Amino acid sequence: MNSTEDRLRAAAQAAASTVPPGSAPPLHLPAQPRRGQRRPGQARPGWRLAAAPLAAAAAVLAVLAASLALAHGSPGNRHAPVAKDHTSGPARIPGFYVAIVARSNPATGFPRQYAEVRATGSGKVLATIGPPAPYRTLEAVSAAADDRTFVLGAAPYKVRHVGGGTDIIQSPVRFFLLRLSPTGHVDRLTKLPVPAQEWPSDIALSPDSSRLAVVVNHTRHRHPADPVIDVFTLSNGAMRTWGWAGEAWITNNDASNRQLMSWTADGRTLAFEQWVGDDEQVRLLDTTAPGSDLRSSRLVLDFRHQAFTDWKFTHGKVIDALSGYNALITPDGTKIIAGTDTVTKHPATEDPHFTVFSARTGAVLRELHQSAPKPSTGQSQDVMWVSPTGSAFIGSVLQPGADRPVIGVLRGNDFTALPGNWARVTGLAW
Amino acid sequence: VTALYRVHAVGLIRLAVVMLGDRQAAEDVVQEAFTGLFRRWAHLTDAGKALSYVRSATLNGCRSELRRRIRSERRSHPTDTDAASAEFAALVSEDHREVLAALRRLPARQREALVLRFYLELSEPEIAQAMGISTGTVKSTTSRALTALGRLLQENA
Repeated sequence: MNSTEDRLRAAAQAAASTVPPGSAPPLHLPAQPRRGQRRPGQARPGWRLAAAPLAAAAAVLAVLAASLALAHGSPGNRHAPVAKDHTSGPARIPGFYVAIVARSNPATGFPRQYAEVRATGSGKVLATIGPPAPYRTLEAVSAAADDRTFVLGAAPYKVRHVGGGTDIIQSPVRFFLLRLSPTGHVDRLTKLPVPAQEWPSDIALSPDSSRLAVVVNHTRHRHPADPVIDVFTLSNGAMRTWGWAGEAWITNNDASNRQLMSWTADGRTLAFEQWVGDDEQVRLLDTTAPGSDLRSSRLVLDFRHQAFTDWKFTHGKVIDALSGYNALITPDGTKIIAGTDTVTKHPATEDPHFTVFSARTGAVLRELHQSAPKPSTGQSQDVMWVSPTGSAFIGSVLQPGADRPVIGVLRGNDFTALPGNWARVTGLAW
Repeated sequence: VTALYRVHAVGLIRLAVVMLGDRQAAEDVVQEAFTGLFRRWAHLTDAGKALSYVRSATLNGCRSELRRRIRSERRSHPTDTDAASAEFAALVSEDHREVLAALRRLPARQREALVLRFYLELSEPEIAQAMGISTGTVKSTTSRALTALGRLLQENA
């Protein structure tokens, strides 16, 4: 039994019980509707969503099967698979990645997590890494650009019994630098000179592995949050802090909150996702500029989340970043690639896909509608790694009814699934 | 609209009270939601969707009210909801108030997902319709929100 759920149910019922039956005040309405207006059911302006046809799902499977003709790399081949870059030659897909994997714990019902080093091309597990003592679970991972350097976040796993239920405390988080050998095996795992962080939401290692960005959404005594980005210099532990006072939350609302931040290759600009009120924003922070106010970051994308009855269509169409999707900046700093959703009014359709935005203006540069699998209503998708110019990227798509995402390489409209066991994976870093 | 109000007003006021912790503000939000429904009545495809509409409008109204309170707090002016909140506090136990306070510190979408799921016990498709998001996003948002709420409660323990 989850005590948080139970406490929430009980509290909500208690609050609701303060409104007795029959106690609603009289309804005061304005003048009658204008003459000629329709009654409900008389006509059919489009409602938002349309169900995905089963035939489309069948087509998805057929194309997915065809797409498996991927050139799988050997475990030690860090250059495979290769995605063709139409603008600047082949875009190299990293040969290794680190997955955070949940291991069930029947004693508490809450999993503990460990890390696996895997070969991208084959999905083969090359190494398994448990949390360094005295820590008991791994909570975060981020990768540098060299395909050999990662940071892992290790945490305690304190069991606390509250109100008949069980809570697990996985904080504070301590960070460790993981270096891989050329064959993808563990070379060394060393503690970083970074103070342990209370409940960090996410981390991002700079491409040259010299700095680590940490997001903490401070919630104590603030409403609704007081997000902070700390950037630590890993050679000496020096820290710079940028804060946003109130009414914001650095999150993509995804359950694992992964990859809220991404760096440009020069290590100057840090892109991050933030909710402000009902707006989901992507902002760019110049980490070399003076100051400590996150509001000095540049707003690039601003998606307003509203009830579907209040959607504002432009030329019959609206592009929106869905809650739970993430957005990464390309290492060259020119583009933002995000999981998005295009909604059309007539006919009423919803098409989740990926969109390439200009990092300078926020304008849509390209919409990538995957050939396989074709997303449809009920899916979610993430961008997990992008090539230097964005010509290729690794993304995930959760198909309707599936309990695990399909992860693969996208090159334009072509999606090639990557082999691997994605079950119980809660974090990934390439 | 009037008939719909008679049947559902109390339930929607209760929903707004859970979101806002304030009876008067909750009644205002629901009143405004039904006024909006009245204005949009002719644009609905069928009467069966009226409740969905007015529920979404109530959630929107709660969001607007919470934003208004934040702006008010920034100006450091006491709000007219303080007295009503004190009355609400007298009716709800300290433990429940703690949970509700933590709930209100979540981002709006997370808060709504939790209330729809654990108070109204709506299904994921129903929550998706009420919030205007996909069912996949409902699942991730709810999970994230529950984790965040648990952490808030732990911090305050």
